[in-house]
Parts: sequence; C-alpha cells; structure tokens
Amino acid sequence: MLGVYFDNAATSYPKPERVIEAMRDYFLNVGANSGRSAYHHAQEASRIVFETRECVAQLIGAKDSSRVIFTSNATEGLNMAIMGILNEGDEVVTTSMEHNSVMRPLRYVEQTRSVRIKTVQCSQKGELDPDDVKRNIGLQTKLIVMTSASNVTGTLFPVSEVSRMAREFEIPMLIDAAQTSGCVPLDVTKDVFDVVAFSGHKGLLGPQGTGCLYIREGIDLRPIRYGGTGSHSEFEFQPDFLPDRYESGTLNVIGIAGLGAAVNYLLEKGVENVRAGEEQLMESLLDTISHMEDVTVYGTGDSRYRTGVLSITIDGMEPSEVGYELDAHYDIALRVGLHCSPAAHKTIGTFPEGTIRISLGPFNTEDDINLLCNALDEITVRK
Amino acid sequence: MNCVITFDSIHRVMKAERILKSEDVSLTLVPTPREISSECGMVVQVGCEELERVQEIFNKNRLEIEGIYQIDEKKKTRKSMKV
Ligand SMILES: Cc1ncc(COP(=O)(O)O)c(C=O)c1O
Repeated sequence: MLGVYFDNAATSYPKPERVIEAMRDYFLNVGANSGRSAYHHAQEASRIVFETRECVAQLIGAKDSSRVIFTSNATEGLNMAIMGILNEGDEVVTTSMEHNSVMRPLRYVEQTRSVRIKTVQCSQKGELDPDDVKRNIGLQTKLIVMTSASNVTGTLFPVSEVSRMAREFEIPMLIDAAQTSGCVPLDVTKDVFDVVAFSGHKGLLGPQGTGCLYIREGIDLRPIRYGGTGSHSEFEFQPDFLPDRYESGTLNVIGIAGLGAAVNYLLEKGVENVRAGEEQLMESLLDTISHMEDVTVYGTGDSRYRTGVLSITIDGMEPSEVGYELDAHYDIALRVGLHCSPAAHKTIGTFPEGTIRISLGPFNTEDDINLLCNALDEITVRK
Repeated sequence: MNCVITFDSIHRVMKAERILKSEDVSLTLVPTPREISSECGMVVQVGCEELERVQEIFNKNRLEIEGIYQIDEKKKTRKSMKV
C-alpha cells in the first residue's frame, strides 16, 4: 500500500475493493472473449461488457448505451474524434489549456490535413471566457475541442455554455472530460453534448487500459481503426452500427469487468457526494496552503469552480526537488513538472519548470491533507 | 416449438436478454442456426407461444429486431423459417 497518494489526476488509487474482485473473478471464472461466440463463458464475457456499458451510460446520463464506446484511455477517444471529424482544410477551435492528448492529434492533422488550429487564450488563472470561443468561430470551423477541467490548475471549464453556443453554430463539440468524469456530475442528455472522451482509470476508479467515448446520436465519426467485431462477419466492410463500428479487435474484457464494478460503486455512492467530499478537502487544503510562506497557488481560489486538482510552486525550489523530498521522506506521492500540458503551463506562466500538482481522490482524508501540509511546512523551512 | 429472434449486434442481444429477464420471460441464448442469416453470432430463443408478448416487450423498450424465425424440430435438420 502506498503511503499518501495525491496523483489521482494521473490515475486513481486505491480502487474500490470490488474492482479487484471483479477482475479476479473474470480471470478465474470467465476468461473468454466478448461478442464473438455463444458458448456460455463467451456469453458471460459479452454480458460483462454490456452491463458495464449500461452502467457508464447511466452514470453520464446517456439514454442509449450503444453510444458509449470502450477505448483504452481518454487519449484514444480524443484521437478517434479529432481524426474522425476533421478533414483537409477544416478549422478547429480549442483553448490554451489543453492536454497533449488533444494538442498532439491536432498538430498531426494540422501537418497532414492542413487543418487550421485557432487557440482561445485563457486567463493566467486558466479561465476561459466563452465569448472568446465565439469570436474564434469561422465559416470553416468544423469542430470545437475543449477540456472540461484543466489537469494543471483544476479550473472547471464552461462546457455547457460553449456546447449551447456550438449548437447554435451547428458545429460539433468534443469534450475532454478526463479530469471530471466520476468527480463532477455529468449529464450528456440534458446538456446535449456531442462527443465526450474520458478515462476509465481516473475518476471512474477503474483499472488502467480503460476509457470511454460517448458519441451522440446523429454524429458520425470516420473510424480510425477497422477490423473484426464478431458481427457482420460475412462482410468485409466495417459495420455501421454502434458500438461495433468503433470497437474493432478484442476488447479489454478484464479491464471492462473492473470498470463495471467501479462505476457501480460510483452509482451507489453518487458522483455528487464524491464532488462534495473533494470540494471540502480542497477547501481545507486551500485554507492552509494559501497562507504558507513562499508558496504560490495557481488557478482560482474558490473550490466551487475547481476540481480536486491544485498546482503550486515553492519559491527557490524546483518542483522536482519538492516531489523528491515528499516521496523520499514522507512517502507522499504526487506529480511534478509539466503534466503533459505545456500549453497550460505557458498560459499560467509556469513553463518550462512546471508545478507541484496535488490531485485528490475519493479516498483521501483530512489526515492526508494535514500530513501534506506539515511536510510542505518542514520542506520550506529546511530549504 | 421454439422461436429465435435475431438482432444486428451482440449489444442488442444482451439488451434483449436483460429486458426479457426483467419481465420474467424464460429465454436461452443460442448460436445463430446455420439456416438463418444474421449479422451476429448469437440469437435469443424463446417458446413460440411467448412470441407475441416478447414482441410487445421489445416494442415498448424500443429494441429493434432483425428477424424472427420458427425452428422446425420435426425434421432432422433444423429448418428455420422467417415468421
Ligand atoms: C485533461 C486530460 N486529458 C487527457 C488525458 C489523457 O488521459 P488518458 O491517460 O486516459 O489517455 C489526461 C490525463 O492523462 C488529462 O488530464
């Protein structure tokens, strides 16, 4: 067991006990592939995949679970949407706070399909003004891509507002919900979201190697991967129905088994309760940390407008030094540096050194916060 | 006599199973009989006397069916016919 874990924005830890049980049960008692055969082990595998899909759909408010596609992580879903929508000469609007899992596929289509990227500048606190998005929309704009919350500052983004705007302009919107799924309530039906990518292994509390892409009915992506689906096998053309259209190849059934158990846990606990808990912990953390000498806090100071992610720097110390001290002497795990988001660090003025990122999860406690604050106190005094 | 109902994807077969179970309809999932053309390798088998009710349940739940077949068990080879 790790000491104190504050790297939930990278991947959550620990996982609910039942996640481990479901994965163990799958390998001990099921083992087979899903969607391919009718013998009873294979049926059970298909059932596991179906049940997990239904749970995820319920969690995000999707009416039709076949619109939930299993991916290996948020990055894969983001690639599927970006590559599947943008064509030669299109324009895409994005923000200056995006993760490289958005920026790199965008740079790729910029180079290979002459796609024009329009980046909306966010404030130094990492906040986006929706009107700035509007100002960047042009006739050739074929996609708006935006994170639901920054993985660097924790700032929540006005995705509902921008989505309404996108609908007015009839432009599809892709939301990178890696940092909010499972931590902040989401209702894709109420908000009429078009395409939403998220990880299964972060806030959803599932294992690594899992992720989901929700695609609203009426939106078609050109698949980026073609192959066997177990359906339509007499034809050599990719099926056009979901989820098969986007799920070629053997699925990560053991991971999906774990994800199903994790989402079940969240449905029982309620995402709004996870949110309330993290908001409260963040308030305590902000309370203490923003009064510490030599500590700079990034992003908004109001826990209502942020997730459980906080970036700080300590005057006169490299983030990596602080990370090392916390790990070596206090057994506190967190992530320092650029967090795969150079654009975000440029926006908040912490490029290229980066920050010390504390990211909370549903299993963190006030005690964890106290341990961290005491450790930071000692480290800053000693420096 | 048994009837089988086909769907275009395993996802819908699974959905059908869940819906029928919740309505206490007894069913089995069987491999798609060779004589039937279906887009997916598994079909839902129910007693033919349940068929009307089953169709109603699927309609109510807006679950799209691909085809319905009767299994002729008298002949040695399992013959299926579209209902
Ligand atoms: C904002 C954001 N987007 C995308 C990702 C990529 O997620 P994954 O590692 O599941 O591909 C992450 C986390 O790494 C993230 O923080």
